Amino acid sequence: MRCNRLVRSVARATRHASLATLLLVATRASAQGVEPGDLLVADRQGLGPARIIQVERATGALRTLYASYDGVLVAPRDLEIDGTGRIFASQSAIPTKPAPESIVRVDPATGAAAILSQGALLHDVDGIGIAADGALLAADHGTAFGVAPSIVRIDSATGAQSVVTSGGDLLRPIDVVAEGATDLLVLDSGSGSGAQLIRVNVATGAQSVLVAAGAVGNAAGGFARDADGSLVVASAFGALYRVTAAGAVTPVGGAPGLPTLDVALEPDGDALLLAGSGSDRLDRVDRVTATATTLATGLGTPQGIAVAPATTPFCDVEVDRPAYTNGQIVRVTTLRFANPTAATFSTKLRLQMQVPTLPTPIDMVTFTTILPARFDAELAAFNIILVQSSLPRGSYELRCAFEDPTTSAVQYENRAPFGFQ
Amino acid sequence: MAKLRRIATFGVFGATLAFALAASAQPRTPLACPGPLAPLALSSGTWLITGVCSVAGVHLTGTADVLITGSSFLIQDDLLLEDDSMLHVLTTNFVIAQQSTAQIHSQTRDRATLFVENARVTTNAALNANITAFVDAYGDSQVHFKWCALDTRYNWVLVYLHERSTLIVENSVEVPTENYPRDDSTVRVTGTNTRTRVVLLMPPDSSAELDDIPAGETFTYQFGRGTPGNAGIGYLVDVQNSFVRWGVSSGPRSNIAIRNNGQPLTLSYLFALVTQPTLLAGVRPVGPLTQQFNHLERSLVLDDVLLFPNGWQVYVESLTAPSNVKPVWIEDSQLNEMGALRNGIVEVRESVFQYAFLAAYSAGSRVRVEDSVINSQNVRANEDGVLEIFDSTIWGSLLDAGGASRIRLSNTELNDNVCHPGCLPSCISFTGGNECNAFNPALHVGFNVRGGAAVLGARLAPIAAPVPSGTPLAFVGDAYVESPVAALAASSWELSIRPLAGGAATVVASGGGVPLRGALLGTLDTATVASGEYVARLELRPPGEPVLAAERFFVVQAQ
Repeated sequence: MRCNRLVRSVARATRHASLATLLLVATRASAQGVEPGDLLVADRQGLGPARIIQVERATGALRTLYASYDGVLVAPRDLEIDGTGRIFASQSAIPTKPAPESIVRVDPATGAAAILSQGALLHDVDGIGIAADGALLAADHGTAFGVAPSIVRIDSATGAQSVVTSGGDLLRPIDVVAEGATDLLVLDSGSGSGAQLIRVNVATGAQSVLVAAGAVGNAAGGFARDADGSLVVASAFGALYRVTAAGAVTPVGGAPGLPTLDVALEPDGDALLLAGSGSDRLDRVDRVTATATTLATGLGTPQGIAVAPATTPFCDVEVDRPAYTNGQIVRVTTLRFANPTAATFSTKLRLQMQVPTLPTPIDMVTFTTILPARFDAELAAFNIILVQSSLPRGSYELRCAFEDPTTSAVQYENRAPFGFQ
Repeated sequence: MAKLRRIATFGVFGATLAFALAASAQPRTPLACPGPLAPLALSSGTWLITGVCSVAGVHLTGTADVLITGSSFLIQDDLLLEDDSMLHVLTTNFVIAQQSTAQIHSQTRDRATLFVENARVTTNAALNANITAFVDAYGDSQVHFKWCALDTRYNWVLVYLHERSTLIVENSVEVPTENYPRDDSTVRVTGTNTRTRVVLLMPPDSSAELDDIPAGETFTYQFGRGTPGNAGIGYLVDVQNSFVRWGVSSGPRSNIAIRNNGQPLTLSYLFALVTQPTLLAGVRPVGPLTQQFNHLERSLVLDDVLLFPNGWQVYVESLTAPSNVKPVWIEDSQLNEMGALRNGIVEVRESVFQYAFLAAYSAGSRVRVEDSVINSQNVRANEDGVLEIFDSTIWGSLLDAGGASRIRLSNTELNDNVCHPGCLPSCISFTGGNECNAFNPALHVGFNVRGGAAVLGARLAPIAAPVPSGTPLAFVGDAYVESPVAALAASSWELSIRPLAGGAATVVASGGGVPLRGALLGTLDTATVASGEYVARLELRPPGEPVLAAERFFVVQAQ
């Protein structure tokens, strides 16, 4: 599968040959906060402090963005990241971890968490999505005692709640995604007859069944919208289905039997299956071959996954470790330049390395270009430097950036610090 | 449509009178009690045993007819009545002396009769636990309990009726505690003092609309064979001016609608032949409930339905090739009882177990429980069953393993049977005490491990805050194997740490052979490691078996 990823990445890059050639000498970055394409996992961690974990896309390495030492997000269920990098998590009580049914906002830079909205219309909250206007959408199971399952809209600034739709065909809604400005789609796990997809008109709350019960598995794991507008639905048992806007369903492989709690899509369309119940890992399902390989293990009790969306041009650079000693090789694990918008993007592309003994960074790549719409070039991992005693010790940094071709104002930048010890 | 009908019948009284007349008419030959080392085994004759009597077991065949009177009759092994035999226990105490649930099996077959009268029934050999006894009736046999009583904190009697057998319950309190009629059997309940539960089993292709389940202290109702409003049900339950707590058992391909019941119910939910992974979610007791369930081609509609606090039981059985069996997933539920029977595979998440059993009960059964609260009086594994519990809390349960079974606990806390927030829907006490589960007489978690079985535990207590570099970090937890098998009991353990982002593990401590619970397992000098994120891992290593591991995340913070 990784070979296929490499082939596709190189193919994309080859279409922009001059850029690809230059990038072959380049670098990596590490993130402060959340960047486009970053993978985050909400992990309840059994009886221990819950965490939001960043998963390195290239290596599967884990890093904690938030831990619930503050007692705020103790029982996370699902995650969403909006276009500005803000993290939202749904929180739902479980028997071993009492917690308010709530939506929690987490600052990715500081790790601070605060409850945005709680209780009221939230009775048993599950998956969340982001509406076209930036509001949050929450799938709520309701209660067995007469509170119908519903989709609740939550103002992302004030936390104000309102019901978008309830009852009807909803039996056990587990996730929701926006479908343009007028509709949303609900993944419902059903009551034993199988998962179903329901389309809801946002203005009226009117429901219509898009995919009938059972066509996307016995029970639902999660779903995500692909760049082409189709949906990728994961059953609770690892099967993947692609669903068109018209409701046509096509099985697309997956990891059969894997106890799947959520699914997300990487920027290149590969699906990420988050597995719990003892599997507790993250599998990547290749979009082309439909086969699964394990990306990350060592998760505790994972619940939800999100990929930071790309809404503006961005670059990404990462190296394989934070510090190196003599004899080790600095390996670039991620180098990516992308313009996810529908318009061309005029920019000065830069790739630089900061060296301890020099006052200014070394320019490794600098040129002015116009990135086509939907441009996305990502290289496979490669080595750049063998660390030797002749190289200065201290802090290094790789930096990728888009700058204004005229003013050199930074349009986007990403840094990967590392050290030689 | 009514399923339970008020009708008048004199059948029970007629049968009782005939039996009494027949018994008094026969001259009986005195028989010495065989004693605790020998069974009571007879094939003919009419006998009388008086005084205190203890036997290894009972096996009556042919026309053997035995009346036992006196202060106590105690059996220590199986009871089997066949042919036209009869056993009449007319004693102050009838003791089925079990060391564990279902240890002693009682059966009536053919035309045999078991009649227990005026007895205080005990199913527990003086253990501080709740122990259940099973009685199965087959053929045209009869089981009759009259003016009996039982303390449900320690004892429980289940009667399963098969074929054309009959159960008569006459002014008995919790004897039997629960009754399960099947096939073409008959249950007759009389007497205003009676307290028992009858579970209405809905077999495949049956249907029923239960919209007038009776309320009140006494009532007269019929359900099943020959009564209107149901289809595909061969048994008959006949309640005459008496009291029954009702249960309904929903199975595959059955069709049940329950509406506006006046008296709370219990619901049993059966999975059989599970060849596709299946999810059951969101079940709750009490109510009133409005829900529907459609697993395995069934329809169970609850429309404004009240359940007892111990409202739900789930059983999973797959009588098919194990390679075809798929798991049943249960999540976000409050279950009174859950049993994986033969080849049943169950995965449970985020649920509460209440006042009964959690069990990998039969051969080939596998149960995995995660993020759950277990208030059950009995956590059980039998035969080669495996019950694994992760990241959960257990409150005063008896961990009860027999055969070659395993109970494996990872990062699971053992607490006392006290009232706590996870005791849902509510704490129950018969004595005004502070317990969670009144059906569990024990305060502490107990172990009852027999044969080649084992209960294994590995736990690391949560680390609630980042640890400043240089501060000693004490790892507290459990590492134990409870087993009669010496090699298992002597299992070793090892505690290590590794960087979260990857890297080699460093051993912090190791040991073995001594059960440790809530103990200091090791201490890490955090000055010796770089600041950063780590995972601590405790491995319990039973010889020849999979490692049982427990992990905890922690942070060493730069000063």
